[in-house]
This record gives sequence, structure tokens and C-alpha cells, in this order.
Amino acid sequence: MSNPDFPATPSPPDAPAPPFTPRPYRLQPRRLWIVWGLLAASLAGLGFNLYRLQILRAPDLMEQARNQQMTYMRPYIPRREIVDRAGNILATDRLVYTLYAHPNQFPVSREAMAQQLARPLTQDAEALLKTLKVRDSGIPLAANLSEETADQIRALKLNGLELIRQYSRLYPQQELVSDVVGYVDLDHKGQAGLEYTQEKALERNLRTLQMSRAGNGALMPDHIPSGLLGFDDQRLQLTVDMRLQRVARSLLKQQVETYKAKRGAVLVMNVNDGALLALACEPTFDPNEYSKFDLTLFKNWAVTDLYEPGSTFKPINMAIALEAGAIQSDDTFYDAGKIEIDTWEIANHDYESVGGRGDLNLGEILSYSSNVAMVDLVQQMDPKVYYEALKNLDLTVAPAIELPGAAAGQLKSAEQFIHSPVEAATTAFGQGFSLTPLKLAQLQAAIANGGLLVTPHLVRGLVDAENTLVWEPTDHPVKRVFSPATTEVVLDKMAAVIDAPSGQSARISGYRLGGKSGTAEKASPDGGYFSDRKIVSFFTILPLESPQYLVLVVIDEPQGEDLFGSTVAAPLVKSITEALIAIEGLPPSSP
Amino acid sequence: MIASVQRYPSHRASHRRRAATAQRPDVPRAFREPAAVDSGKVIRHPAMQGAAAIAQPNTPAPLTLVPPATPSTAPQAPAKPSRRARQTTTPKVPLWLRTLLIIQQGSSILTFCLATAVLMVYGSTVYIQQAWSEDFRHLEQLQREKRELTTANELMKNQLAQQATAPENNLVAPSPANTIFLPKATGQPVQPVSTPTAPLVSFTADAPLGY
Repeated sequence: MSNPDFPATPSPPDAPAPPFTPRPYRLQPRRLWIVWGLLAASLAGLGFNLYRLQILRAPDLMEQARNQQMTYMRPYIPRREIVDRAGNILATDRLVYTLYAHPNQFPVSREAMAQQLARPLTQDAEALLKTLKVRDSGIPLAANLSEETADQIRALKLNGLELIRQYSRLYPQQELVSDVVGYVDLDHKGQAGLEYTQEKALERNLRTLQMSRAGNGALMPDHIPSGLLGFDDQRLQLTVDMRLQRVARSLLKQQVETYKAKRGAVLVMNVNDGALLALACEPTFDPNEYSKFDLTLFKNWAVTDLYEPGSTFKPINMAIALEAGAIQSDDTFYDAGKIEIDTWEIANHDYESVGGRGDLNLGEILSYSSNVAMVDLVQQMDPKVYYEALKNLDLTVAPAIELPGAAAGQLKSAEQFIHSPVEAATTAFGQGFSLTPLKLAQLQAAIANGGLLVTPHLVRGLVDAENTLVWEPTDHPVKRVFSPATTEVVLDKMAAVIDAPSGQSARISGYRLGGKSGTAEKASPDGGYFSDRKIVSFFTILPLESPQYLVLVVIDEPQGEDLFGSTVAAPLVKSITEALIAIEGLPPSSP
Repeated sequence: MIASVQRYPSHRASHRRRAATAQRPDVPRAFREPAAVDSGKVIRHPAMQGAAAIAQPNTPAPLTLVPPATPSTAPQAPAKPSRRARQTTTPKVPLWLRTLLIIQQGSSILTFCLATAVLMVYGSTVYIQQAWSEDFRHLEQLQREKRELTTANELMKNQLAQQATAPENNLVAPSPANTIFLPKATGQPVQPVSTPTAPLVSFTADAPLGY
């Protein structure tokens, strides 16, 4: 093939002239220049755009991208559950949603919106429309929506609706253990009971994460710290037994209703370690709807309120006197039925009907609940020794239970106690000083367990999914206050109370129990005592061969006839003890 | 990177390829001395064609039609003589060059492997993110189911317990009266019965371990 464009090749002289002038050689560079120029220009354009995007508009764009890609994720890290000793859940977390409407972003009219929302929200469309017309944005439509409802609303795929996720505490057993567990407020902070005091053990760190999101809305694990989603499965386990608590609560409720009492409390304690198996107060509240209840119900009055224990304190006094060596186990004390000390008259509760009983041994003093003989008994001690012994029982120290507001008992000042004989005399039968029902239980437990003042507690510790203890509270000090020899004598005398005719209402065939009733007059705020207001109590210790449990019932201001610890509280103690025996599987001591 | 594999095969090969492709039409050129290859005139313009013009650029040649070189004929013709010519003229490849060539080949393979690995790693990062996202959704679903089951279970427990307390159900609270206590077995503890086990032992001794 010839090449007519080749300019350097001279044409032969005889050859015909080329058909056209050699054109491209001179045009070529121009074309190249144009192409090159175009490329360079576009490159420059790209470069400029790059500069504009990367440097000039970078902050804005970064902001925009972050808004589109980043999402704030709160992974599901619930507050720890609270379980009873068998693992039944007493408090758990669930997710709820609050629905906000922003009508200025609605794709359809407010009327149509109200129609669509009425069904999942189970609200009247008219009422919804009224709410939607209030303002253009940020209208709270409904709170505490369940996850199913939230799903239904999401499925509508409507703009202008916003679902805010929140944690909500659920107490599936309702009021069953409310006075122990307490409740959390709207901010998920504990406000009463163990929810308040065990905040540290219950709370897990709620971390908000910034995460990037892919185009399809899927979350990308770019910046996730390790171990974030695998939160521990620990739960706060209590020493409370839900079955026993249920029996205790329902029986207490019945009894409080029957006697139209102001309030009542039941305590079941393991005397050897102070663990509370049941702690119920009536009336109480439903922690799921705490806002509907009176504020005063949020405290556990068995822990926070003081009362004068009355005759239930007599075994303690006996143990003090025995421990001090002032009396012997076979001593007798004279019961005149009525005595006068410093112009104060002290009489037995049955003085009107029975009169004086003469010499009584320790068992008889307890079973007749003789006040006068008790006064004689404590008078064998130096008031100073007696006062020191009472102080040694930590009466004026609040028990270290995990509930808020545990109250310290009140005792007269040393001077007043030692120099006024009537103080020691009234203290002999449990009046003139005050303590909480919990403190009384602790003291009786000391008699039952051989003289150790154990720390009453409700928290067993943190357990994992396999129910093995991961953490356990260590601050449970034990203090010796009586010698085992002393407590053995007192326990024996308490058995006499149950065996006596008056103890029949608490007797359980086949089991050896010890116990004592108490019927105390209530102190009026302006000095003296109410004649018509009583606080009755009863406790039993079982099984007497090797005491393990203590059941204490206190009922405040029962109304009606024949109001004594042995008539109002004892039957209740008996029923609860029966349930305790069956639940704990305590074998009878005699068939 | 991969292109580089073909770009530096060897001096000789590259020359042959250039001869075969870029200046395919100058068939006779291959028979010339190698010195002529590098003459400035040959690479003056890619558009230059015509075997006569290249062979004798300064002598006028009649404009005759030269059959265009076909791809099949072009490389075949010059292949052998070209190599022979080269071998006679070029000195032996020095050691440093050979070393460099070996390094170059080795690094090419390495680069290829690394590139593959990079692609795989990149692919897996994308995949892992997707898989994570999917599994996270699954986790949330499971957590939700657990939550719902726990709640339902406990609420049911509470409801049953409340129903049980209703007097018309005739359910009674637990008490020792409705509890059976089995007395502890008295007397001798259970003795391992020796007579029936004796033949069994001898029998199992002969049995294979699997039984």
C-alpha cells in the first residue's frame, strides 16, 4: 500500500502529483493540543472540584454525612433482674416506646393520620385528631407502648412519627414483695426498697454508641468496643422465698382486714445467718403503678418505724439477767398482781380477773406474761448493769439491713434509766423504750441461735445464669451477746409458753416450738399511753431442738374484742409457720 | 501491576514484539542488520508504511503495491533470523541483570498474591459488616423473645397464684398436715447384694469394652 501522506518521501519526478495535499501532518499537533487541552481542562476542573469538596465544603459535607450515616445506638443493656431465692423474677426490665407526632412532616392530612393511628393506639380517632391539632411538632401521643404496638406503628411507614425507646421496670409479682424490692421512677432510678439501696449492684453502664449505618439502614460494626453486647447475665438474688412471702402476705392481708388494723408486718428469718425468708407489710403498694399510692406506703415500716414491744421483750430481759448472773434458771419471783413504783402503778394484764399469782418460776412468768414478776426479776440486777446490757444489744443502733431508712431504737438516757426505778421496771415488760419489729426479730434470733446477734439481710448476692454466686455482700458482722447456756434456758422457758393453755393458738402438733406473745399499749405523742390503741405481736422459734427459723407477726391497732398477741397475731404465726414447715421440709420432732 | 509482567519480559523479547506489532508492515526490515532498526527514520511516524520506503528511504522506488503484512506472516518471518542475529551481536546477559530479573519475577508473583489477598480481605470486611449487621438484628430479636417469654412466664405465675388463693378453688396452703414426711430408713444401710452381681462381674469382664 502506498503512503501518500508521507511528506519526507520525495515523489519521483515522473510520478503524477498526489491527488491531495498532505494535510494531517500540520493538523495533527493541533488536534492533539485540543485533545490534550480538553483533558487538561477537565483534569483541572476535577482538581478544582476536588479542592472545593475536600477543602472548601469539607466541614459542611462531613456534617451532612455524619448526620446521614451515624446513628446513636443504645444497645440493650437492661437493669439487672431481681430474683427470689428460687430464681422467680421479682423485677425485670422491658422496653417500652413513647410516640411523638410531628404533624408538619405528615405525608397525609391529620384526619387521615388520626384514622390510621387510632387502631394500634386503641384511642378514639376524634380525640387523637384533637391532640394532633395542638401544635405542629413534638406532640406526645402515647407513652408506655409495648413492642408489638411499636411494630404496628412502624409498619404504617408514615413520616412525622417518632418512637422513642425506653426501659421500663416490670414487677410481675405486683405488690407481693413491693416493700422489699421497692420501685424505680420514670428515669429508671430506684426510689424505694432494694431498688434504691442496691442501685450499684443493679445498674449496668448504659453506653450510647455512635455507629455508622449502611445505605440500607443496617448498622455497621465499625467502632464497637469489644464485649459491648455481651453484657453479663447476673441477677440480684434475694433470700426471700416467693412462696412463703405469698402465704405470709395473703394471710396478713386477711388478718389486717378482719381486725380493721392500721397495719401489720410479717418477718420470717433464718436465725443462724439473719437471712429474711419473708418480709411483708400491709397495706402496701403495687410498684408497677406506684404513682397511685400514698407516699407513706413506700417505706417498710417493720424496718423504719419504732414501737414498744411489750411482753415479747420479756425473754430478752430474762436472758440479760441470766447472763449477768443475777438470777438462776430455777429461781422464782413473786407476783403480787399489782405493785406501785414511784407513784406509778404496774399491774398484770389479767389483774382484774385473776389477781396476784404468788411465786412464779421463769416458765410461768412467760406463759402468764406476768409484768409484776418481771419487775421483780430485773430488780435483781443493778440498773447500771441492766442498762449496759441493753446498750450491748445495739438497741440504739440501726440494724444494717439493705432497706433504706432502718431506724435505731430509742432508750432513755443512762442517767434517767439508772436513777428512776420506774424506767427499769417498765423496761422489764417491754414498755418505755422502742425498737423496730426487725430489731426485735434480731434479738429473738440471738436467743434462738445461741447468743449471736446476726445481721438481718435480704440480699443473697449476684448470681449468674447457672445460679452460682458471683458476688456476695460481706458486711454481715456477728456479735455475741449471750452465752449458749443462757439461751438454752430461755428457749426452754419459751417452749413452756406454747405448751401452756394460752399458747394453744400457735401450737403445731408434732413440732416443738418456742414463742411469746406481746400486747403493748401505744405511746401517745403527748406523753402517756392510749388506752384503746394497742400493738400486738407474736413470735415463734422452730424447731426447738435446733432452732432455725423465727416467725414474727406485728399488728398495729387492731380493732374489736379480745385483742391480744395470742389471739390476733398467734393464729397468723401458726399458719405461716405451717407453710414454712411444708416449704422448708422440716420433719416433725415427734410423729 | 499485572501489566508490568508483560512490559519487561526481556530485552530480546520486547524487541521482537515491537517488531511484530508496531512496525508490522516492514517485513524486509527483519533481514537487515540490527543497527538499522534503531535508525531515526524507522520510528519517525507510526503512519509510515510501505516496505520500499523504509528499506531504502533515500532511493526513489516505484510505487508498487505491496501486499499488506498479515499478523500470521509477520512474526513468523522475522522470528528466527532475528534471534540468531541478536545472539551473535549482543553479549551474554550479565549476572546483575539476571538477578534483577529473578527478583522482578518473584516480586511479580508476590504482588499478584498480595493483590489477591487484599481483595479477599477487603471483600471479607464488607461481608463481615453485613454478616454482623444481620446477626445483630438476630440478637435483638432473640433478646426480645427472651424478654417476652420471661415476662409472660412470671405474669402467668402471679396470675395462677392469685387464682389459687380464691376460696372457690378449694386449694389449701402448704402445711405439715398435707405434707408427707418419710421417716429416715432405720437399721442397716443397704448392703450391696453380692450374689447376683458375682456372675454379672465375670460376664462383663469378658464383654468388649464398648458394652
